[in-house]
Amino acid sequence: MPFDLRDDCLLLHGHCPIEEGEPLLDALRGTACPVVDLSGLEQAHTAILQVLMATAPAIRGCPADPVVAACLVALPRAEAPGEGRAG
Amino acid sequence: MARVLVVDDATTVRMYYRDVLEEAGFTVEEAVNGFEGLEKAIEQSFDLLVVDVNMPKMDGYAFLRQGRAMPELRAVPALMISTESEPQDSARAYAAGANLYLVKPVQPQTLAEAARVMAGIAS
Amino acid sequence: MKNALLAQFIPEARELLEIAGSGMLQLEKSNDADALNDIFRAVHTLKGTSGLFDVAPLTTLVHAAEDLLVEVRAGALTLEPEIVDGLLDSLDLVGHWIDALESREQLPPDADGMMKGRVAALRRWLDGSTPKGAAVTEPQPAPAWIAGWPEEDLRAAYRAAADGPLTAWSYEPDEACFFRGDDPAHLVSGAPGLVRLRVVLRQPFAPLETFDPFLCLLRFEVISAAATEVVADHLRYVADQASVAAIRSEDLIGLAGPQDASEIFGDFAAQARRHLAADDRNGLAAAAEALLRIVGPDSRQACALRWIAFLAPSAAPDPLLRLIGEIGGDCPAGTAVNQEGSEIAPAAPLRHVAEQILAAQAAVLGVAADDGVAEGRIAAVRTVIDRCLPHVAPARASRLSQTLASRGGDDAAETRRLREALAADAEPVALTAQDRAPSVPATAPSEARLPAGAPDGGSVDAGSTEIKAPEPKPTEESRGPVRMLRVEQGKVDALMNFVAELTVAKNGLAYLAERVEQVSGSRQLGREIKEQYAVIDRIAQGLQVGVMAIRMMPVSQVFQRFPRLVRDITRKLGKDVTLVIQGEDTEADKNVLESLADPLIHMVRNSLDHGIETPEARRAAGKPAQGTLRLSARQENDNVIIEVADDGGGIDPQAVREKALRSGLITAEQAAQMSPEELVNLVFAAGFSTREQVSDLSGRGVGMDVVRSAVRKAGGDVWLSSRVGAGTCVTVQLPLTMAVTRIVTIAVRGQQFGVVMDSVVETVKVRPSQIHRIKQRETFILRDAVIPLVRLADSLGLPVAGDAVPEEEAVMVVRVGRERVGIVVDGFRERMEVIVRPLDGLLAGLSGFSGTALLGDGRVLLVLNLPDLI
Repeated sequence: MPFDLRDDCLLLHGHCPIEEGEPLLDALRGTACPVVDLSGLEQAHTAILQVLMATAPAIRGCPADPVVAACLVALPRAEAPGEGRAG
Repeated sequence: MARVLVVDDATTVRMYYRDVLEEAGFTVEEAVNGFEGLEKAIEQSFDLLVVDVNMPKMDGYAFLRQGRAMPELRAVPALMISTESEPQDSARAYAAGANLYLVKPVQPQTLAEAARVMAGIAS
Repeated sequence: MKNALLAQFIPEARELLEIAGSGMLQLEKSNDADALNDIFRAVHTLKGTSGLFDVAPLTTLVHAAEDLLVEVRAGALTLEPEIVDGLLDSLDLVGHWIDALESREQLPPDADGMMKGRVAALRRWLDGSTPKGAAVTEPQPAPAWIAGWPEEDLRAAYRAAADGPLTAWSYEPDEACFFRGDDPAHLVSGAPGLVRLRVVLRQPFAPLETFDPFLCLLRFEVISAAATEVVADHLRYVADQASVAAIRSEDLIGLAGPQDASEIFGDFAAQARRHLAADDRNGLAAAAEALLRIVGPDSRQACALRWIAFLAPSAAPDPLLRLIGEIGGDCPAGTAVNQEGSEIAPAAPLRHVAEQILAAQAAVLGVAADDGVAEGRIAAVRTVIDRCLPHVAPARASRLSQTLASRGGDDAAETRRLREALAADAEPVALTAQDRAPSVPATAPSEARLPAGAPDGGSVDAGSTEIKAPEPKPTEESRGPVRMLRVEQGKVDALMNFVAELTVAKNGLAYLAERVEQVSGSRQLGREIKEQYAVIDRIAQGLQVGVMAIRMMPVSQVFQRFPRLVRDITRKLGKDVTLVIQGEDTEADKNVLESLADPLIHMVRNSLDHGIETPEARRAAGKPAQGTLRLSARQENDNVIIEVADDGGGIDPQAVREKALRSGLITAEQAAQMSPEELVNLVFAAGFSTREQVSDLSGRGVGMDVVRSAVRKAGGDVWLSSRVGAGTCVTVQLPLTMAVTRIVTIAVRGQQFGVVMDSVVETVKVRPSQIHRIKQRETFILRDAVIPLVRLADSLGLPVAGDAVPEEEAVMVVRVGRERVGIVVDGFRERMEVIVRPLDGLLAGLSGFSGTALLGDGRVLLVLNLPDLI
């Protein structure tokens, strides 16, 4: 599964296809102050990016893809996670 | 009122000619190709023909050739208007029986003045 | 006047584009001279008509396409698939511009740049190696959106461009692009030479509760350090949604902010010019930075200073001078906008016009007449000369008049006499006209381009093959085309609404008749009202049929885009597929067809992507290498049935079963009971495809639930049948029209509800003893079929009735999709025609209902949405 729910944030990684759009939207809608970690994200379908833009979670990690970065440029940043994981 | 027959397959172009020519004092009749033009010419009389070249079923040249051989149309001045601007295009129009050849797009004033003079309604 | 003309032009242009586009596909299939002529004439007419409007790029592009077609028609050029691609892309672009004309009455600002790219591409085929393409790289006015970019991005782009080519492009994927399998972000991400991009929302997202993640609302603005053609090639499949323009790095130097008139800027300008004259770039940069520390950062001047500081070390003097001018206020020449418009020249005296026409008559007589034309033509020339006389100089008029009077001799003699008279004291109009042409186009008939002395009696183009005898086709209706009206759809919709209201209002008369009988006891009066009702009913029905017929469109309106779509997709996928279209004359309501368009694209894409195999795989499976996709339409009762059938690999029910089990969509118990057909239909289930990448499955699934919900929203249904190895057929059933619905009312616990008649199969009485429980579900047997029962009162959560179990249950057997379900109700009431309006306001969130209907007696009826209840 290209997205996992960790204790403190949603983790998107690898290739995130359009099919993840709705579950991701549900997950983000159901979280009060969602944080999404994109460190491991290689590529995301446009629909995924739109979900992120619309729900505006705090973003952790720098997406490698310039288009992903351009889509998310206006979203708030979350501080690096407390321990360990590269952000 | 002077009567003009506009023969052109493009609806927009006919509408444009109609606007200009009605403004210039004509009663305008339309045909969508040469064939329909000939039919109209048999039913009604006209003071001027405004004819396109490229049309389905019967093109403008054929329309003029047939018209010049018909009592109803033989002496009616004909203005041919097309997109082509090479010398041989006007020569071909004249060979087929046109009296004046204008290149699209024709300015409203050009069309109105030429039409009024050729129809004999200019004061 | 222009606007009405434009409004006329837009639909005509679309029609012509459609003719040309479908002709092109036809031509690619078989070399058909008629198809070529149709395309040619459509393109030609479009070119001629577009000249009436200020759309030069459009006219030029269409002209280039026409030039190419001329070569094809002459046999000098073979229509390779690449050329067809090029032509279709150009037509798409023109279509896109027509859309822009419709909404904004002008072409998009980057039209000129786009046009240059396309024209160059078309010309490449036209003249082989001739490097006419040089025109392409010529930079165009930059697109307006660049001005909206933050300065830093522009500077970053400037830096990245170095001296290479720069292309500014924007891409606005259409809303439904995800359904076609497009991933715009991916496409942008892979674009050549990406330097900087911005992603803009075309409209704000809907609130999260209603946010639709499958509606693409983004717009991409990109600057690429790559040649325009390379970018355009990358975007060729979305050419209609993108616009591409070559720009210069100077175009990135944009200034924003309010003017600041401080004197300090004047001083700076003088100083800066001195630095520049001395080529003291460091000094210039330092001066700009120094001033920036003093002034506020928001003004236009400050913006210019930042650019100067950035550019000073490297840039050419010109842009720097321009920036300095912007700061100092004294714009150097060249930046002032040339506002000189096209003044209308004072009306030339008609004498000039008459002389031009007379000159034309001389020219006419100088050209040999076609066969049979000579005599009539002289007569016409005489008429024209005669009509010109009142406008020319009196002396010339009387001479010409005498010549006209002196008849005699044969045509040749008369021709000579007339020509001499015309030449005698003719004013040198031709030359004058030519000289004046550029400045006074309004008064110079283009006739002036005719060579002054055409050869005497020389035959002109006598051997030309194009002068053909007229070929009227006697089989076709020769009385001219059927007269058509173009009507705005809104007007027809309004009419339809009235008809629907009338249909409902007339039902009120039936109530009235009953009430009259009950209240006044006058059966006579009641009967008269009923008779009157019958008359109005008949008229209303006629009216309804009539208006519905206006809104009916052949499905070809929807199907027509598929030849192109299938062609493009199969080319992309490297598959070989013939598209067979059947029943395209089948008609259905425009709204219904429109609701069908996107799901259909989706299904066709699925068939091509996942259904039909590659030629190699097909051969290996013992099938013909070429796959077949069949798109068919037919009418069945009040429904239109559309089928998308392929002869591909089919869907493996076991694979679907396993997946459905794994994703928890069904239990093992349910799975055990399901037929293979039921299993494959699980691909429509919501959530089926969201669990796993669908391409893993040798079937389909991407958003088939989206397809189903779209079709159901339109009041229809969709299902699928498939055989492994042999292919898949998706069937869509839609109502012919959405306007008036026939319903039957039912009673449950004292309340009335409506049920759409189309879904009702029959009504039966069932004894309690006939009802059996199978797996916690009540069922009964109807002619050897087990029909599940649903108690409507329970489904709707209505209060439990106190009375005892009735001796017989009233059961309405309805069809939901292809399943039959029995619905237990208290009783049936009446049938009627109503307009079902969607739920809104307080009712909007209510599940179980598809809408409300106003009854003749003023009550509001809730209409059940059966799939919700089962």
